[in-house]
Amino acid sequence: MATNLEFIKEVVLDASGGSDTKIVLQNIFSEKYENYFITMTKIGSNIDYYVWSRLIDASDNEITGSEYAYASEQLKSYGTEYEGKSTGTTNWNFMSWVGSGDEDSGGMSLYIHNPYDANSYTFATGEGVGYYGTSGSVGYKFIGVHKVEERITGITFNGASDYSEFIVKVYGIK
Amino acid sequence: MAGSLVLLDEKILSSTTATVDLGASNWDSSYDVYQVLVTNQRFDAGNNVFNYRFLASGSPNETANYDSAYRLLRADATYGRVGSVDQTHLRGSVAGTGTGERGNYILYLYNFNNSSEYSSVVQKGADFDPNTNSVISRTGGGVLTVDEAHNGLRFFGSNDANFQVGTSFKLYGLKK
Repeated sequence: MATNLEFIKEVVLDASGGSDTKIVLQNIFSEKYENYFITMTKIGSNIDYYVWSRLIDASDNEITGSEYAYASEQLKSYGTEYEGKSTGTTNWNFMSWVGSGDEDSGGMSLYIHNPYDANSYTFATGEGVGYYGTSGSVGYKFIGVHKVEERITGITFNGASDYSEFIVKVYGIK
Repeated sequence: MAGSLVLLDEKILSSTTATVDLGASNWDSSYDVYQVLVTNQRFDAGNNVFNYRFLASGSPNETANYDSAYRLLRADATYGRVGSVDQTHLRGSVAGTGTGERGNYILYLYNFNNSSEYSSVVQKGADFDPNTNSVISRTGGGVLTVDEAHNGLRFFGSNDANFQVGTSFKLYGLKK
């Protein structure tokens, strides 16, 4: 049976593959889909930190201006929840967790809404989880908007240091 | 996960419309869980609420039996919590005609085909509020506390607002 969750791209960095400063997914958005589903697993680095992200414009440039707003709720097994948010900043932050230990890697599911429409803002909705080796588990509920009407063709995922491993898969929802 | 969504019904508006039904005659009861995507949602007038009801045999259940609880995520202020009982519908965020003001919703529908138990929905999504320059979301869920089978949703705005051209509604079944 034909289905409507269509695979677009996978990027894998394993422990033997060196490291990457950030995950760059260029030319994954197109006129074919309004909504995209991105999964990230085994998000690992040498520093515990948050996943943060920027979008890529139609000229393949990472958008670094103060054009992003986001709201994230960080839930912790070891403390009170934290509200990470901004109405105008240079990235989407507090999206999920980058773990530094062998067993601490993070995961995330992220929807991107309407990125390729040059007459619309681009929106994101996601959840993340990870383990902070010295403290406990952390979960994230994330929403974001890029507040410029322009065509978006890709996305980057960043942390505080090089990624040591990750698996990213991108799907279009037809 | 790949290939697990099956499109059952879609409405992409080519003219302004007060109500939109998903499912009904296009409902397929062979799924346990359904996913709804609402994208690019706008109204033709400001400060209206995105609302919806469950369809029973193709007609909306309008009784005061909807209970809900939401976390109010927003970029400009402390997050809120709100719970309601015995409402006549479930709801999303306020939307209107401002620049960038477009709602996006992801709904998961549970237990819709069971006539002897309640049906429920999980809701998440993101909208832009130009008044606060903020991204906002009502994240949570709701239950219709009636033992009844359901076969879709009816979407409508408060104050008889119309959905704008380009608003997209899609219903998927989650394949085993």
